[in-house]
Amino acid sequence: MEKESRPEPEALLADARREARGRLKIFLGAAPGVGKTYAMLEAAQRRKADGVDVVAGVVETHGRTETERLVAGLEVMPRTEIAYAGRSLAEMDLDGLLARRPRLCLVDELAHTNVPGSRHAKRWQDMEELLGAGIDVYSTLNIQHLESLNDVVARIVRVKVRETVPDKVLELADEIELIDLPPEELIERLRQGKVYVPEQIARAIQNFFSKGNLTALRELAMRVAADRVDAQMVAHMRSHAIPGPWPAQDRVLVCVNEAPVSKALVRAAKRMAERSRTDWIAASVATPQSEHLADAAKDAIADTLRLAETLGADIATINAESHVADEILAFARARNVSRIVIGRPRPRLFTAWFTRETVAEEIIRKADDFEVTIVSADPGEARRAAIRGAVPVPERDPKAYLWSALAVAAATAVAIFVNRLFPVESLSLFFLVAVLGIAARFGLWPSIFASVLAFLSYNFFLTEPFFTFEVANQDLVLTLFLFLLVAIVTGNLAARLRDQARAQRAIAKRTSNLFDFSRKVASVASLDDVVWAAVTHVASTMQCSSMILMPDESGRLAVAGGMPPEDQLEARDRGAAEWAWEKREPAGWSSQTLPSATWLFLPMKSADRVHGLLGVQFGTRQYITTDERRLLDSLVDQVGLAIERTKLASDMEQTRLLAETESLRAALLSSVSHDLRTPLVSIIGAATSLVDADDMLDKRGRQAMAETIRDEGERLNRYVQNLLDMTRLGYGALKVARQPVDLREVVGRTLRHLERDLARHHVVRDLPASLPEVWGDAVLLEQVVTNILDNAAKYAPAGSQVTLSAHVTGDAVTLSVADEGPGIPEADRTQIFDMFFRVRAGDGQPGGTGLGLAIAKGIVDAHGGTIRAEAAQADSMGTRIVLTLPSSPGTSRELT
Amino acid sequence: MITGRILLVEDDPGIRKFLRVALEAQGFVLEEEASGKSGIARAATAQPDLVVLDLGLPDMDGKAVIERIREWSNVPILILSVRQAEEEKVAALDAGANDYVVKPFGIAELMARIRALLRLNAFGVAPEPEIVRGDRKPRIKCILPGQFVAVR
Repeated sequence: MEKESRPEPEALLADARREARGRLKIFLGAAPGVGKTYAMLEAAQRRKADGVDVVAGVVETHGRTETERLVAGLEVMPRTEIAYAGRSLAEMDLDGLLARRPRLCLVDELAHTNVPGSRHAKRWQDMEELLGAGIDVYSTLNIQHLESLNDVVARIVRVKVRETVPDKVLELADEIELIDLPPEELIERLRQGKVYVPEQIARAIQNFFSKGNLTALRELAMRVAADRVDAQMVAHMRSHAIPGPWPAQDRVLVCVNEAPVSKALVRAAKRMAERSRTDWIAASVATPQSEHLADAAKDAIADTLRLAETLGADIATINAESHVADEILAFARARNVSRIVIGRPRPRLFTAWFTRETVAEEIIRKADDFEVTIVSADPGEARRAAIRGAVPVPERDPKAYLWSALAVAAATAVAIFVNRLFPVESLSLFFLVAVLGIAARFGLWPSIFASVLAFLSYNFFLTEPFFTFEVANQDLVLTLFLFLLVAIVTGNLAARLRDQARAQRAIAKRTSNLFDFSRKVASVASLDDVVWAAVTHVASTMQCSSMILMPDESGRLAVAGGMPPEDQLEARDRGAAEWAWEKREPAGWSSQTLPSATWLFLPMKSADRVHGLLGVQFGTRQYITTDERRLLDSLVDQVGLAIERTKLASDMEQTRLLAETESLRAALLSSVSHDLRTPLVSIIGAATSLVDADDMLDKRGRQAMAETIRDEGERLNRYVQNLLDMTRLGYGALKVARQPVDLREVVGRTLRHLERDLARHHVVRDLPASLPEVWGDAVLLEQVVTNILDNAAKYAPAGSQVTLSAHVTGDAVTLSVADEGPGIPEADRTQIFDMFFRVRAGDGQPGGTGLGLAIAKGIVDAHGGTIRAEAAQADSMGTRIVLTLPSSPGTSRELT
Repeated sequence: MITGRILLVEDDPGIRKFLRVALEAQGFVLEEEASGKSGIARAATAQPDLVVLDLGLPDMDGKAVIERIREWSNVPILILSVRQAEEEKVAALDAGANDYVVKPFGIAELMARIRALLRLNAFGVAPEPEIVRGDRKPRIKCILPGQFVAVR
């Protein structure tokens, strides 16, 4: 496929992310004493001379005077004291540095392990946080502390370095300076006492500083620096779309188990992947047998996978019922793996020739399309902890042994009974039944126990000499072997069956759990419900305490829900939570950051943001298993999605409300800007005519101008009145002073009022004299009729007819006003009573505030009446406004 | 004193009323229309010397009215509008209007602007458009002294 010449998005993204971060320069040395700290300080002094704000976060001078002289000119951040085990230990003051925010910070000795109780377990994590805050960092590192080189270095110098730094730290560095010193010179420096050597390792260090070792380490350091330059070049080429022979996207798969060699496998795989610049996967295999592994072994696997994760691997668990090798190869094919890394198969014992071949051998035999790399263990390490297979753990339940004893006793009783009735030869078969039953029911160990017991019992009660354990007959020994064979074969078969069933049940339970949860949260609508469903589900599934933290209105993290309900966090838990929130990374118990907390917090992420944290607390346990962690991760993902969904829903509701408010605001603005101003145009125009051009106007002209001012002034007054009324209606401040009101009077007054407006219309009144009085406020009702008639005058053409009619319906009086105007489209007939609604928008319409009918409706509603619009004529031309008002109580409806 | 026939296209009866009085007092002959369509028709039949046009008309937008009139006439057009945003003025003037007055206005200013437009017209060399009939749309070459108007 032709590569497009476009920068790879991920490369650009990485660049962009790097922009915001501080820049990291690492002074890399092959061994202690090569002068890393000295070089770092020299560089810092140069930057300071350039006017850069430099602060030394932590510098280990080890009392060397020339180094101390270089520190002299620099601002040094005092270390913070941390109490641990009754002593007070000094550590780098991370918070102080973050608050001080220098441009450049010096952090010596990246591999340093912080005192327990510090924010991070390791100093490199502190350094990461400084970078994240946009502070440039100069730091120093010795090659032997690099995680992936850890065992290589150990093999070279025979000193196991415990303090390690993950390789990603080196990848973070924008610049690496290799501090190189020929081994001879370094040894000379050591002899002169210029190299700081902690007393406790003084003897070991003698071996360490041999010329051979130093040469090897130096070569290693140079290779790391060179690889790094190479990696930078590739990154540059990718982000600048330079076409090149890219390595095929084949992956490396490393298979790990509980054996100590697994860690070496992981590191080897990391180096291979790095060299060929490919992704790599670390996988463990879960089989029914692996469920029985001792806790220590399970922890070892989890540990190895964690190591792989910190080295940048994808981790996976391959589920295999029986054909482990086939499953591994299928997985490898599915994930585009080209190279498989496995440990060297155990040396075979003589007996092994009779058993199946090992998984490793099977992979080697079958993997004809893969490159298989076999890594052998450090022989010392292998000896220390022999690789143990998945030996079933003896059944510990005493009940199983009790049942075994009972079964044998019953078999004995039956055998004795049968022997009395009709003596037979094959009494042992009764015991065989018992052993078979126990094996099927309780598995291997109880059945072995039962078979021994059965043999003894058979021997004691049923063979000559009776009631002794003496073995007089060769057949008896055969019987014992037969019992044991049956017990072992059946027990193993039964145990495997039960294990498979149990594993299936566990998987089914987990799947149904996830399914349950997604169904549960899919059906709830509010955020609170999602939170509650999530915490109860997590707590019940994982058998732990759980809580969800989300930011409150002020942006501070607060407990949104907990199971069991909890609303307070201890200070260190709170710290872990805040860190996790800020950095969007897991923190707290059983994690890399603030592991001294009792809660583990996982950020609930969705595509673009973090919604909150899910916290779990497992009481007194030390570690979370990978399985639990994976289940938790998928739960957290689901909760994040569910929260995102509810948030989106509520955002949409908010947006809708906002849009409504916005359109109301726009309508008000248009009303004020256009409809209120139109009368003003006439008033100002007419008034300026009178002022400026009075001499040009005759008497009639002046009269006309004055009339215009009066009419338009009245119109303006009506608009303002409407606006005010609407405000009053809106605030519920409208007071209805009810009394019996004669609608005919109301209509009469209104028509007089609107005489001029309706001058060009033909007004027809059809109000029967028998019309009962309505129960209402005469002033307000006049306003209603005014607004309706005003509309008719505005919209119906001159010369058309406006008809007012009224009739009685039950306890109500109906008044309708019909005109011969253009009519209102059916779809708009209810909306015309909304505030600011105009059938046609803009300023190209007859003046009006769009409030008249809204006010009319408000007033009619306050009277307990109804108002509606309908077409006055069959062809939907014309408008008829029909309002119904309650008639006055006690008003007789007799004819007059 | 400059006089002439003015066509007023305005939907608000209050404004029409006082403008009629004020303009007639100055000696102008006034024609009135309340909608865009009737206004265009009247502009063709009444041969006005000036059109005073409201932008907000019930049946069509004032700018469309300008464009329709400009298809065949150079008559000066003065816009009256409550719209005071700069882009509205630019749009109306670009559509072919000659001047723009924001409502509300003082009568003296309106009169002065009307006089200015009529004065230009009175001294204009080629007020009548030269109509070129070609194989495509009618082209109107239009020259007003001192200013560009629509050339299409």
